[in-house]
Amino acid sequence: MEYKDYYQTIGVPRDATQDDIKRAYRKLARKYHPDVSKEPEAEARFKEIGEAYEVLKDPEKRTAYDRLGTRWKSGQEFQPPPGWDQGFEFHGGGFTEAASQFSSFFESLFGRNQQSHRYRDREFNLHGEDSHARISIALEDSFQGGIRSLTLQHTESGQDGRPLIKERTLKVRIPKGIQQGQHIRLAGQGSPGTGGGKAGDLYLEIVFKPHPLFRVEGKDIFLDLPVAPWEAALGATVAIPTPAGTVDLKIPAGSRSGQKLRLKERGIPGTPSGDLYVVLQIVLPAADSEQARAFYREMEQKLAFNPRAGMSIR
Amino acid sequence: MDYDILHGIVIEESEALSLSELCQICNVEVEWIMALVNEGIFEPAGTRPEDWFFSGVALRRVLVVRHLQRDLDVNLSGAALVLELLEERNALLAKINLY
Repeated sequence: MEYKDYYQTIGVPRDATQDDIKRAYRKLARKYHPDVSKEPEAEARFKEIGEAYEVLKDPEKRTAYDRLGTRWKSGQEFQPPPGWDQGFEFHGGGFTEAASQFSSFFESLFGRNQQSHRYRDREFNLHGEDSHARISIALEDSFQGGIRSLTLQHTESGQDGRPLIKERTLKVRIPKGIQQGQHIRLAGQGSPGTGGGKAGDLYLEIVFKPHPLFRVEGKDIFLDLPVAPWEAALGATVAIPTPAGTVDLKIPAGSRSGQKLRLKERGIPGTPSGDLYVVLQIVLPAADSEQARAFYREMEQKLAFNPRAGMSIR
Repeated sequence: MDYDILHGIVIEESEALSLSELCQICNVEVEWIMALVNEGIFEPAGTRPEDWFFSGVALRRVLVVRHLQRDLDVNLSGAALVLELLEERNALLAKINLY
């Protein structure tokens, strides 16, 4: 297992006060909170920060951690020295709700969150808890429907009572027309029930992977389409990509940059389907040859064109 | 290997959630959901709590508020504000393609 430098994770010196640690943690927690953050890897970072804070906020755990000394580097292969925690008594109850996902480094030092599941109501004592996960899919998956695999991690008690991190892979059918932010319920795939009770359900939140061409708003899709000045000015029929394949689009004569063309029901399928909006972006040819520069000069001379006519400049 | 492919239900399209279903799904107390309703974080259909129904949007909001409270110690009105600003920001980001 790898050594983790909790001070480095939170970004404080080893002699930081408890207040410093709390302040640094709060700042990072807001920055990397998975519901708020747009940083890449926010969820993984948030877990690391939470684990580091779990140790450093608690003077008992912090002192024990400090006793490992300063010779370890983050990521280095680590085994706890024999008897390192002698003379310490951990009082338990110091685990927060998030403690189930901590690293094996943490668990080797402090054990594992033994807190039993709290149930909302006695009636549901036998019913397993519902669980939640996110699944990211390509926009195309929503157009075609399909099967996606998803790997989930959970902890189980091994034979000797030590926690084991187990992985399971689910194959899930992605219904055609599903939208970002919607949830798929998989009955019986949550936590197992106790005493013969029903297992909970698993709720998958759909997240679209960023697409290089399309952006999505609800059921509608937007495509920025580069067009040549003569295509916009004179009109043209051009081939454009859509998530369902290539189609021909007629650009009307006299189109302007930023103009939106709507292709009805070419968005995310459904009843009714969303629309596809093509946003025209007029792109200028580079004046990088004598011939091109001659063309531009000719336009300058022959077209009475003032792009700033509406600005009343004298 | 068709036999192990899981077929699910899209919550937002197939059904509205009752108060007790919403609580079960999110592992929260009935009283807490009522506090969210009182804060105006979402509006159930139906007049009395017994016949309240919630949309899929409510499900997402419940989860976000619960995470914000648990992880960042935000109170309910703070969470409601964060939620509104987040939704506004996400819509704007989607518009300028930085999403």
